[in-house]
Amino acid sequence: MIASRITTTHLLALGVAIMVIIVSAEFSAEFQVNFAVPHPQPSQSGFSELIWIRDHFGYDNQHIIIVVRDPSSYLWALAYDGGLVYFGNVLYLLANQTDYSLLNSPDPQIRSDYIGSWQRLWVYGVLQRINSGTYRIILPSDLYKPDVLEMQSLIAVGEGLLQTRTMDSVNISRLLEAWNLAKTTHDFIGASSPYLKIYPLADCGAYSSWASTNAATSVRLAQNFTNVSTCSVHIATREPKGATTYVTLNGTWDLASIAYFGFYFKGKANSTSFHLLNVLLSSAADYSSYYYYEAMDESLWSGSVNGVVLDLSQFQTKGFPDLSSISSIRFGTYSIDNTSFDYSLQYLMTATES
Amino acid sequence: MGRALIRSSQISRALRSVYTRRLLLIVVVAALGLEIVGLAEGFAASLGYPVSGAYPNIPSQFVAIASVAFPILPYVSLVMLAGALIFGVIDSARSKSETVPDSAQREETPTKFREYVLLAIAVSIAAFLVWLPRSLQSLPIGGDTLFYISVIDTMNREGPLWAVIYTDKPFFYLTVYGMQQLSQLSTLDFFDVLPVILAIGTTISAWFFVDSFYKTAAGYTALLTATSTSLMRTSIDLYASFFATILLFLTLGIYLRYRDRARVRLILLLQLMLVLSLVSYWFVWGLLLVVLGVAEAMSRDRTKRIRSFLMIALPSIGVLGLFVAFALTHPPPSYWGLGSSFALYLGKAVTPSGTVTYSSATVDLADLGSLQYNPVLPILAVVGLYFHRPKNFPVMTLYIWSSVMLAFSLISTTGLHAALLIPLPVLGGLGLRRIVEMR
Repeated sequence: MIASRITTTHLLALGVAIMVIIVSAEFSAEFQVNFAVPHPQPSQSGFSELIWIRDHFGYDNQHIIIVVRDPSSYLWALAYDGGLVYFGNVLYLLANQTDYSLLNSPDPQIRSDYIGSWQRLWVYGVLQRINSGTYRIILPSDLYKPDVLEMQSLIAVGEGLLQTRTMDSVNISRLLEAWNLAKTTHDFIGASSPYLKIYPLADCGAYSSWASTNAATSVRLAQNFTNVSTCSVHIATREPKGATTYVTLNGTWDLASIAYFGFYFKGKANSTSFHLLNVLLSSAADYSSYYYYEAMDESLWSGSVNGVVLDLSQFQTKGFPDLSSISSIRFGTYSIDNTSFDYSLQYLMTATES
Repeated sequence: MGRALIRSSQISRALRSVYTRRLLLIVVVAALGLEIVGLAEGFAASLGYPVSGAYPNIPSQFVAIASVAFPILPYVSLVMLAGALIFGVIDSARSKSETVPDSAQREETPTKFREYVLLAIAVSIAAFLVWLPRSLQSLPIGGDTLFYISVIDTMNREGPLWAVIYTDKPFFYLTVYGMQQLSQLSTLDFFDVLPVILAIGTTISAWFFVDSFYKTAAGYTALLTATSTSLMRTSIDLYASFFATILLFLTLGIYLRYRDRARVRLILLLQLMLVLSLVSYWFVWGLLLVVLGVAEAMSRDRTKRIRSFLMIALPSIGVLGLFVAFALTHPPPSYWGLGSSFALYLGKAVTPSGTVTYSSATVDLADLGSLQYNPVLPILAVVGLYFHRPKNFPVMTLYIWSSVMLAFSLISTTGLHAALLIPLPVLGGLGLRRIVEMR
């Protein structure tokens, strides 16, 4: 009876059904392995800072406000430290002002994270008491990467953490104003000059010593493009994909007591793919030991003048470099595609807190 | 459209020929066989066990060629599904003279044991597939998981009432919080287990829904739900959607049973389910009201039916009214719960600086990407729609549900959640059942 009901067509159809389920399961298994992964994590040191906060201040400590400003760090901070996490720029938090640059950000994730974190502080009544001393405002430095002006409101408390210092509202407003000016004009050197002691690193006589490390890069002394000094150096290079080309200035510098390294920069990159500017400070002639910083900020290459100030503590190291005997400074450009770079450097400087 | 209908009837006639049907099935078996082996080879390679050689290379090449179509698959699926829905509605309207009972399709004697076996297999597959990535990773999976962890930890500190005052999904959070308390697991460990529980729940509830009107398709639906990439995507970090999907299937399943046999306890249960849906994910509650309301409006005895439906819906509408009234008397930041959450779907948020726009709705096809990864399911769904016209209440609900979600999946603010709510596994289950019925 049963055998008479089973036909070849029916067997084939049953086979199709079984195979469809197997194919679906395979697609799903592949999907799971490829897409069911953890959210992009912060750097290992940034992650360690979050865990350190949890281990030392406790999970969900209602007297700690953690400040981060990228969406990934925000979610990890929420999950691993709980409590009060502010997504945004620390000076706006201290001034208890609305940060319209985030509120109107073209990135919906940034808008949403800023609003979410802001609402939470509002619910807990934090905003009205932000400078009352009730809260310790902590910044994991590797996640937040504060700039020179923000550093004026911060002190290091160890383990890569920074904490806001006690400041009156006038000083906070002044600092916020300077920060907004720097953001608008891209001139952090000019905006931070009231807060720093600035030391030019080389005079125009030394600029003629800039040399390139390969023949495809031209280096020449050029006219100034800002008023702070009388000359600049102009670099033009065309480099193959994946390569880095450098220009070098040799000398002798003791940067042991220095907090910041800066320069004016104006450049354009003929590239739509990922590219960056490298800054190397070497204490070994063969570059076996050096400090380096990778400036990935795309706006650097807009063609406008940028006054860049880099925190030396944010430089990474290779080998065992020594800040007290820096003998060579290099600027390098890198791109994952064939790219031509055209840029000028002026007024290399170092600075300490005033 | 008339020409399309004629062509489709020609295809139908051709398929009625045994030899054509067998030939087609053999081609499909061969293609699926190559796809199965090729995908398995790719999967083995991604786990670090590559398979090499001339003959093993053939299935991989087949998969690679088939994958070329993947980027356009969402759009093809959209057109296929929309086309099948329109075709079904028009064809149904043309053949109005047919007398089809406005009730569930119970055309076969159910083989209960076989259905339970299929359900058990489906549940095991769902649990395994959702657990698989969690066994390979040490950190929590998915971005929103980190957010959910912080919510549950906040409830651990502030107490469960926090979810009622500050979230628009209080019942969902209370349930998750309660489960975490019962499990005695740390929050991080609990979020490894939760998606597995929800995947099992979704598979069972999909089975329960289809079992209420087409018993012999319920097992296939469960299997396709368990192996669907929409379940996989939801399991990554969309736990509230997951939970709401379970409530949606259960409510629809209960409603269809109530329609077959109206009993007081079913009415009370439905009223409760709608309230729970509202306080778990009001978007899904709205979907339930629209789907059931419109389907009832198109049924026979519509006046009586709509009156009964309103009786079921009224308590949840009343609860919503209470939440809104409370929100009006307690504006943010003192209350930020369900009653004040509706503007969120319009991209508005209340801040200390007043109400701001944080996102604007646009027409966006990006979220149809969830239809991209498994081409088999949309094809089966179209087969399901082709063989089931909206001539009775259960299939009518499926047509309305699919159309509404297809439309919402094209709007940026609701896109992903709506795309994942398109009942592809259900339609696919009906389609697969029809294929297996071939003699």
